[in-house]
Amino acid sequence: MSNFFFPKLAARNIKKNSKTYIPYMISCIVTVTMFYIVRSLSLNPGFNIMVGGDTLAYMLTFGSVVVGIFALIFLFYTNSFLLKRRKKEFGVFNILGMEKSHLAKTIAWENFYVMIISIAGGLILGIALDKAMYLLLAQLIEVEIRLGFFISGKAILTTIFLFLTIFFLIFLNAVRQVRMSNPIDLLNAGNVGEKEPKTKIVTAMLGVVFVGTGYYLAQTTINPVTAIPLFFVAVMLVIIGTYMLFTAGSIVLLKALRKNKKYYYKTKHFISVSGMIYRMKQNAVGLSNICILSTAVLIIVSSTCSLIFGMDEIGQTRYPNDFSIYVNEESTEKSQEGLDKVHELQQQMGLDVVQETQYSYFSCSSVKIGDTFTVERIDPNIDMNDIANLIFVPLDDYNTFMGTETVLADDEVLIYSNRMAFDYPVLKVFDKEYQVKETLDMFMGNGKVASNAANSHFIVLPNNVQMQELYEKQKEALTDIASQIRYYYGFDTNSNAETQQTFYDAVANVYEVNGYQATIESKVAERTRFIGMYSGLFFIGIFLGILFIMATALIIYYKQISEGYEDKERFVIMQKVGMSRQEVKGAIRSQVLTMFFLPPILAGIHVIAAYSMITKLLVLVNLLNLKFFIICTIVCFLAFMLMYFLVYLLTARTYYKIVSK
Amino acid sequence: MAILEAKSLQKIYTTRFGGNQVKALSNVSFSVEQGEYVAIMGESGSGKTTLLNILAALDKPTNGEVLLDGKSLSSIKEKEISAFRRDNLGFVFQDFNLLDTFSIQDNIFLPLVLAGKNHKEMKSRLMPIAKKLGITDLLVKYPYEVSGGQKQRAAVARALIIYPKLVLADEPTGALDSRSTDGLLHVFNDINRDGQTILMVTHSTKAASHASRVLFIKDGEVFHQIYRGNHTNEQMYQKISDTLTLLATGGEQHE
Repeated sequence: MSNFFFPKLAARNIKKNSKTYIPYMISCIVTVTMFYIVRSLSLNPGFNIMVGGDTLAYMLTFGSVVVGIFALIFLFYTNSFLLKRRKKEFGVFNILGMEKSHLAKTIAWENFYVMIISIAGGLILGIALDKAMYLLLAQLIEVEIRLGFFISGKAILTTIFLFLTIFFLIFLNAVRQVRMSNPIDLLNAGNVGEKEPKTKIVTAMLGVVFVGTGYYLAQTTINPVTAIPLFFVAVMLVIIGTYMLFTAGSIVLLKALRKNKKYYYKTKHFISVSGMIYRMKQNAVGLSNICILSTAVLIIVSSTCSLIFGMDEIGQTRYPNDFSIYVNEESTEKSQEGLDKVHELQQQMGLDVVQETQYSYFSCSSVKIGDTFTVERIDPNIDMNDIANLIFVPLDDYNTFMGTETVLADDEVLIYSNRMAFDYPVLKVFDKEYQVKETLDMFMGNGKVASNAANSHFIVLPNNVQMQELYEKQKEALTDIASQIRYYYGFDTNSNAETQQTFYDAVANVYEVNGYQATIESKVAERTRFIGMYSGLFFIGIFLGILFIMATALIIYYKQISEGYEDKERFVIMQKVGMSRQEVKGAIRSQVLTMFFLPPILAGIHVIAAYSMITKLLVLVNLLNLKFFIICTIVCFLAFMLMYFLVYLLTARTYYKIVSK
Repeated sequence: MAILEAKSLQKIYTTRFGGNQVKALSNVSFSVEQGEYVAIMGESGSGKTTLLNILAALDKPTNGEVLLDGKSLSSIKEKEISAFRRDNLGFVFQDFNLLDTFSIQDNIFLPLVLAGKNHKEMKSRLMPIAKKLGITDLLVKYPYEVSGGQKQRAAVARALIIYPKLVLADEPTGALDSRSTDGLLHVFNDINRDGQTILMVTHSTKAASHASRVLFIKDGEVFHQIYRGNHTNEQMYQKISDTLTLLATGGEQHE
């Protein structure tokens, strides 16, 4: 035999079996792409300058391990179908006089081709996608993305190494199967009826335990930062549990249904239940893959979306006015001097000022128990809900800027709370007791304090004497971390974004030149900064979301094709035994639909279980509005289901074409 | 009384390109009496399969009509045709057509489940049939666990369980070894003795020799028929072979 015999034979085999080989190779390529992208993202140097970048990089490294395991299982699974179809061919070769070692050589060459095409194609596609996504997102959010396009040599090496290993294992497995069987077995392998799967109660129960433990861990974690390793344990448990539930749990359930004679012997259930028992064996892994990918898509996309769309809302609490100046001067004179300069600039630049707010205040944090606030150093382990920020404001400032003429007695206060209402008649702070004259619905905002995750209470004190007294007491209690009495000046404007930006730059410049101490914030300027800060997050979220959706669609497609060829025969027999075409179509559709919608439904349950964990992680990146996150998740879930259904419909058409040919 | 009547059946296929017409059946008329066991023989391409498909309402004749129990098959609406077949015709196929996803018992139940019968009735119908066919012990097994002969008996049970007016068998012994063939032909004789009408399409002389009447089809027409009368299976076999020889030599005289 010439040296080129086996390479040539292998190439011809692949060409001849293109109908099964093409979907297989596409799956391989996409898997390689997926792994490369996650791995290279995790190594992206952009993380160093990103908010929460360390955590994200860590999570992505973990994610790449998960994708690696996923790749191994998925490729083994798709290859097993290919192998089953090819066995007959091997049998013929074997009978015609090819030795098993020759077969092994052919298989080796075939695998080699697939491997080269997959790894090369996957890497090229990965790098191209990376670039394309980068450009697309940069267009969309109009800000430079911190997490730029990046070709990672290390990621390429890891990818090559991982997939060399996987393809080698696949090759060994194929050779083992060919070696173990005789030619007759090989010839018949394609025709042998798939045996009914065994009932594995223990595995099914373990699956429930694993998923349950994972859920429990996700529910009970309190501190998201220290709990990240635990979070990964929870994720792994749920992933393994999902595989077990789909492979064993589903069969236990279906067999129980079959035992119920009244239920089972109904036209609809009879065909679908038996069909599913039969199908589950080959589909369980695919379904678990879909379930896990869907969960990932849902979590990633919904948290990213809630960040993107929540941005304006975050801005609203964080920046109550278009411009906010938090003066940081010791002396009142210098404070006023700075503010006068601001007014001058407003005049000069013709800024259209709509509403102004100015007040003096001092703030401190405290522990709230009932109607009593205790001002002290906060123990970091304390429950967030018990912490309260107190902001004290004198009545004069309040009246001036709210346009009211409220009068307070010496022991009376007004109170405004931003999160949880204060509904006690008396307010106790330090050793003093105040009657709450009124709880306010509106107040002049203070963004710096509001950005804190705790409750904030704005307390209007009757006069400057009271203000001074509490200020001294606060100084005593907190010593070095005590706060000063400060001025806040904020205003809104109708001028356009450009003017606002120029004005902001001018004010910042004046303050710097004159050495005034203050924090100057402009909503417009901050918004740009904010988007830039989170652009990396958006990039990862949208990118991985799209990637996983593609992978999901691909698995669905692969399943439909491979099932189509097998269901064809069933379809014909049922018609012969007296089912109409419509009935058969309906029966198969209901069975396939059940199978298809099981994974996203379980994914939905996973997401609900992960909810408390995710919200805690989101707090790390400043998203506090959980209601908004819930809405985002629900919208994402519905959108995902819609998309899933569309993919299903498209592939179902291919499926019916195959079946009814 | 005739349970099945075929009246001047004609079937013409038009090829896709050029409109060449191929006559599969030119003029077939015959009838099957209640309780009869009829075999239809013919070479490949003689129109056997086309005829069977038309009798089974799987295909429509170009001309002529089929009456089952006095009812014309062409008068049945498209929607009801599957249910009609399911309620009146039992099928036995060459390649068994059992579903691997069902146990033997569930395979036999399939037409009844489709017809919406309750489980109790299925069970009471199954027991005597399974006993007669000798497959009682196989009921819990799966098709891939039993032999060809056993599969075919299960398929016969599936045909009989609907109490069909007519059993249509398409080359039922085609995939069986000779021992299983003998067994199956005995089964057919038994159920025929119990009053079941059977119409079998075959090109096995042996299978046909068990029938009470044999029809020969050639070039789309009924060419000849042999009645059993008082002949034994062996004598029938001889007569059939003679006829087949005649058919093969185109009716010319032997020298």
